[in-house]
Amino acid sequence: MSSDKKKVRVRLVDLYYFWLQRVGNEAIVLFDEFLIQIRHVSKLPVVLSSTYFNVSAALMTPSKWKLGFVFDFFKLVLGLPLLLILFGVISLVVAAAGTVAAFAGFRNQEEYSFKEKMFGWILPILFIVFAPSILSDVSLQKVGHVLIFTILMIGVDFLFGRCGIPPFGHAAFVLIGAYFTAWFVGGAFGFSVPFGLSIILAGFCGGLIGLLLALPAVRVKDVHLSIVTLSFGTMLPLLLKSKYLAELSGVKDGGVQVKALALPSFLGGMRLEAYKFYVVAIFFICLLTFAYNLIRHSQIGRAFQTIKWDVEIAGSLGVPVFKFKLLAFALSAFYTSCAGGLLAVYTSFISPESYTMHDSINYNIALMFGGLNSLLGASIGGIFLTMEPELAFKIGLFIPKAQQFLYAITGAMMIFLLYFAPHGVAGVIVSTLRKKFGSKVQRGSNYKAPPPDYDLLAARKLPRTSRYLEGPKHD
Amino acid sequence: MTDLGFWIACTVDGIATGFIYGLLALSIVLMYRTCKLFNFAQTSITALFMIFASNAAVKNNGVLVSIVTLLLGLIGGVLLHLVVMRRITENKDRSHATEALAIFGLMAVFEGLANFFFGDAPLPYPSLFVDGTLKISEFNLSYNSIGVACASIFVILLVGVFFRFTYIGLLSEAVAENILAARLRGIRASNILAIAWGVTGMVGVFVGILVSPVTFVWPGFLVPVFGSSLVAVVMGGLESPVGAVLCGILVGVVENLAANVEVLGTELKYVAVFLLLVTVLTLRPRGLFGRSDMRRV
Repeated sequence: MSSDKKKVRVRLVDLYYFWLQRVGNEAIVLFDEFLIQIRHVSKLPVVLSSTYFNVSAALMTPSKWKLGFVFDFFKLVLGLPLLLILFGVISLVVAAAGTVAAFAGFRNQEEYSFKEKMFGWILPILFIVFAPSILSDVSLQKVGHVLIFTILMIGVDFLFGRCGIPPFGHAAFVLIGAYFTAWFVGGAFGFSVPFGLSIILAGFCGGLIGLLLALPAVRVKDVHLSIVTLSFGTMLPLLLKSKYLAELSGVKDGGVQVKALALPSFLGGMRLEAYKFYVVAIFFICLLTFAYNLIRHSQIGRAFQTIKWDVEIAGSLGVPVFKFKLLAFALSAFYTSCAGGLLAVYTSFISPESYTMHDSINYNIALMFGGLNSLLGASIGGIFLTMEPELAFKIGLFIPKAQQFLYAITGAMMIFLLYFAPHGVAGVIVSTLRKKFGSKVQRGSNYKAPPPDYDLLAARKLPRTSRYLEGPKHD
Repeated sequence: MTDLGFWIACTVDGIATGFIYGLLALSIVLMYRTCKLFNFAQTSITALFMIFASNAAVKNNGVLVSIVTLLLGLIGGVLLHLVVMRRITENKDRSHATEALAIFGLMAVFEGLANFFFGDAPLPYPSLFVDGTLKISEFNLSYNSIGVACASIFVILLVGVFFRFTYIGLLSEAVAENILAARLRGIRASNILAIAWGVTGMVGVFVGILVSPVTFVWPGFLVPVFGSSLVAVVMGGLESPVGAVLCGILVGVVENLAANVEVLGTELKYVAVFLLLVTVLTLRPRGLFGRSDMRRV
């Protein structure tokens, strides 16, 4: 019976293929079914899904050559990130959390490590990169509108949140940005500019006009600036409709048709909605990064904070208050005009009645809802601006005249928010996150005294020797 | 164009409109002096009350409905302060910005309510004055304009007398000067603010009653008037009632003259008003009658 004790040598390679073909097979089959379900709901780009199907087919057949198992291992390793990416829901949730962490600043800035800061930025960027593969056209357009309105809210926030001046006429700057973009792209001035450059140029034109507007009004009182913007906002649509600018503003036809965005040839297979979304997303990321760095990491941002804190003391500390108020207004006008240009390019149509005084007040209310003086609040304000009309429409299907009633309810909610959450929704989010995850360092008014029977030595696991009981020897 | 009579008629028309602007500017200045707030909700609240009044005036006497609406405006203003603004004003965490933002919320609420109660077409409202025109040599002045001007002057004088020669007016001046010091002296500043809100509401409703026979009642019918009055307030100096009224007349005249100039046209009269505002602010930043800002450090 000595032949019974034959050792069966199992090769590791065989185990590997065994695992691959049993467990991996099941996982891949399940995931294929999941993908098929998703394709009914949203549109995946053909390239990405066909790549994935190629990978899964390749994964299931072992290579025939000697070192093939190495190659299969790398295929599996490369296939895993694709699996992660295509699980769109998880990435959305994580991206949202990362955004909140990056913008909420619920710990002091110096307590973040570099990796944590990058974590906050990379996931929103991942979301933006892969959103067109997950969402349908309609949802994608909504997300694009949210991004554009966030830029608009950042523009309004420069005045409202960081200087305390509610601007009442910023729909006028949206109109200016949109019309200048339309004129630059359409060649109304004799030369035609590519649309990316025209949006930036329109932003600069709007900023210049804002600067000229702010010059007479900022010298004594901030409240003068609000009134000047109010009359400017009233005046501008009428100016566009008047006979001097009628042929440029296209009043007879109802508006100006902006030349539609065309897909450049090197991006052959992408759908048009995805291309427009990527354009908007690139502008959004650049402008957001610029605003973030300006506010958090630059002298200009610190000057704004000082001016907001107390104007006279800022002046006595050497901050040139007048120049910085002008700069705040010019930045605000620049951002708002860029948002207007993006809107013109995104929706391909602009008319003098597109953005009225009612919209200006809406921007103030939306920013107030989101939270002043924060970028997260600007994002929430952008979501509010996009969601409000369609929420009103959906409720209006059930209740007649619901849109106006929703406006009244929004106003009432605003007053409640002022009483209970004076820093808006962003303030609520930041304060709850601070309480849960914030640093427990007790500074100033946060000091919580220990209970009288608190045994420090037992808590710190220190011995009861004379060193700890008698106290320090010097006084 | 060179007809002097035409321009004089335009100016007189402008003065009539200017009195309305001055009246509304007076109420804005009163609110700003006592509460340091601009009452942007005024248009919406007045529009809501005027919609109710128009619906009531179909069957009832116009003057009676007007008086009832005035009283409603007074009571509404007082209630608005007591119910809403006082909680926000006396909240521990509040800043001046939150009070200003509460006005936005109120504006949204009342605009929504006004749109909700508004039907389809602008509603008519009976005029307080007799129809017809008065002919002086070659000018035509409608009785409505004369009545509006006289009523405005009367109310402006009434408000001036109230704030200057009565005890409550004295207390209001004290609160406007320094609310903390007034509180320390034993003045119930909250009640004074309620009175200021009530007076502002009443004057706003009165302006609505004067304006609505001409421009019918719809939820935004006071918005252009309010815009011009705000410009007048800023031009006249934010804390000066005299400046507000005089600049209101000035804005009315300039608007009417600019509307009749052939080059600009009716749409660009706002451009003229805007340019006037910018010029005044450039040349005299504190307003024509304003005081320069002083702060004790």
